[in-house]
Amino acid sequence: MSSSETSGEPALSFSCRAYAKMALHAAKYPHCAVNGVLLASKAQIKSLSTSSSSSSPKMLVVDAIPLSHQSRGLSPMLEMGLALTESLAEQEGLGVVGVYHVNELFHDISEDSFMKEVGKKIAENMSFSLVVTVDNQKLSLVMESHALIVRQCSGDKLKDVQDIILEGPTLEVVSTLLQRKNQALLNDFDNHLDDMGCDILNRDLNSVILQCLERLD
Amino acid sequence: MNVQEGRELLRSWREDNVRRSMDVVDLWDSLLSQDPEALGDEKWMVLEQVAVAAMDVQRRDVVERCLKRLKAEFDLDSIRVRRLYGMRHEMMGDWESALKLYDTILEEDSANSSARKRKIAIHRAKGERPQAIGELSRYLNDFLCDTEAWMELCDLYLEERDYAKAAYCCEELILHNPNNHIYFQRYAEIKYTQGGMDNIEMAKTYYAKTLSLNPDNIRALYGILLASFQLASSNKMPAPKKQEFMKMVMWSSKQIQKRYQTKNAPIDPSRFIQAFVSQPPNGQSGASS
Repeated sequence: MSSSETSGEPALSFSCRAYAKMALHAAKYPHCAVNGVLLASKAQIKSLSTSSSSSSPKMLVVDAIPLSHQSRGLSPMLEMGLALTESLAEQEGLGVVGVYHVNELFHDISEDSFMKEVGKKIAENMSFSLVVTVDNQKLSLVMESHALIVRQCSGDKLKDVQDIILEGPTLEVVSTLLQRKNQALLNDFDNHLDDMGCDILNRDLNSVILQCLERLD
Repeated sequence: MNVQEGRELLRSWREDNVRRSMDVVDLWDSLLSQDPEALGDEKWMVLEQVAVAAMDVQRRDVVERCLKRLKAEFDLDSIRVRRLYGMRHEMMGDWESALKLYDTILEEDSANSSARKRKIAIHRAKGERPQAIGELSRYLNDFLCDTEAWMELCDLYLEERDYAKAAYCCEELILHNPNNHIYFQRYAEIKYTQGGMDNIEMAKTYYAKTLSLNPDNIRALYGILLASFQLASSNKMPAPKKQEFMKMVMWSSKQIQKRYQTKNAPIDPSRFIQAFVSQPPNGQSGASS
């Protein structure tokens, strides 16, 4: 997979897999607020946590785990989903680096106060975290620009991150997935709690994304 | 699928009150739109169902076609058709026109609950949460038994982080239907979120009740594990009670693992579950505030 075109600049990049899951989660539940967590490699998180630079984190968000589309503002299953995700990610050499959320109202792009708190909690362990808001209005069947509003959380402060790159032909891939209504393949932790047969790692979807990427690459 | 099967599918979605707007519109496009007359007497119900679903997914062409047919048959004298036209205004974001139509319905029939609910929905859509709460509370004074509305009010209070009032709504729901495990589960979730050892203990009790009403409720098992773990980890907890909660941690973790094994689940949570059992119970409490 090709990475970004720019080099040298500190940039935060999102893998096709991570971006696709956020977009499909929003598309699967258009009438709900949805949220989930973002994963990056443990090694990368560690080196960023120890470096003292306060600039935008230069890292790759490799995957997203969709958590909830119901029980907004309630903590028990969010805590459980987060802890389960951490444990599963660790076995793959990955760690939780932040959260994403999509608001219930179409035009609402404000950050969710509950997710901001989760972001702060995550930042306690590693000096920073990401809080990503997905802009409903920028999701469509033919996407030309990404829909992410990224904020970096360190201590009590949130700072906008402007420099964002999507890996390779992510927008084409995700547009194709949405045209094919592949959001039906996506499972979140709420689905898993309703039916344990639903895979929150979404491995079936991963292979569909990969096929789509290979065809376009 | 033939027309008969499509009709039955739509009927079952209507009766179960599920929101599958995309599927409804797909079914209309692929099967029923060619000849709605073939639906017989059910035609009007289907047209209404398809119109609402099409509004949900912004398929204005479908909305127009269904509404035109309904208006030709029943005219705007029909309150039900007028309500649909109000919802069409909502789809366009024309709140004022929608409100005017709903008010004409309420002038004619002050007890029309769906028009009042639409007005509350407009407050929600505009992000006016305090107004939505006020209107919905007044609505519930008149329609005390509307459980759907109590649930909505509960959600609104949760967004406001008013856990005491959200819990109150849930108590109403439990009184209306003391056999519904979902209400007990929701109550437990609210109490846990509210935080503090007394509330977490209450959450544990309500999760246990949830599980007794529905032994398949995995949220209840996870809830018992989480709440018992927090209680067993508290420094203020007397030793005998600690023991008791530790036992609950052991029991619920075994139950959860058993469920995963019998269901042949695609993920293996054993390492995650093991962390609860192996940690010393006198660790720090991580309960949310």
